[in-house]
Amino acid sequence: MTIPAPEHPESGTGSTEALDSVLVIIEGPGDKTRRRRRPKIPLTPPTPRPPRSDNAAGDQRPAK
Amino acid sequence: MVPVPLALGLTLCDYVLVEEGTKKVTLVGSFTGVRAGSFPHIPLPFCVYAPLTGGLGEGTLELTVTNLDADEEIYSLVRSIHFPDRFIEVRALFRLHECEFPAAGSYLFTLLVDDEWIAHRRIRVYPMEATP
Repeated sequence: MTIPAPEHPESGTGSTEALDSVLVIIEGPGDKTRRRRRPKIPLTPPTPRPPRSDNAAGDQRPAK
Repeated sequence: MVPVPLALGLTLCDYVLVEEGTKKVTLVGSFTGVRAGSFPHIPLPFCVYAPLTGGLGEGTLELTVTNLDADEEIYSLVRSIHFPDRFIEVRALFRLHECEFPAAGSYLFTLLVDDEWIAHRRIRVYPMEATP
């Protein structure tokens, strides 16, 4: 729904607008074909990374 | 598209007002639940709004709706998009008509660019007599 821009008072208060952007409107009844969900997104959380086995305490190099 | 854009949000709402001239948008009636009188349920047309940034070049933007309980995609809308530079904001506004929810349950709205996941939002659809 498009609405007219409100009139701003000419008192130097300024105004705002949507700059550097493109509005893309996608209308439609869309595709209603039923199909199995495509495996695009993992719905289970990723497995955590194993802890680092070496030098886990940080950069503590043995003294030479 | 490389790099794939980042979604700054994904909002389902009743209406989106677009101001002439300034192109500012106002989202009205953001929701995460739908109360249905009977099933299958076709709600009044509603909007999905997602501002995207960080992409570059041409790509295919797709919004899908998946019934999570049946693991079945029930609706999709596709459109090509163009990012002239990485700082441009492409504001995608989907207006969904006749999005039919076959049964009560959870539905996932997923946004994809070139088949890559960008964002998702879950809503719950429940019968009018039930407690959400």
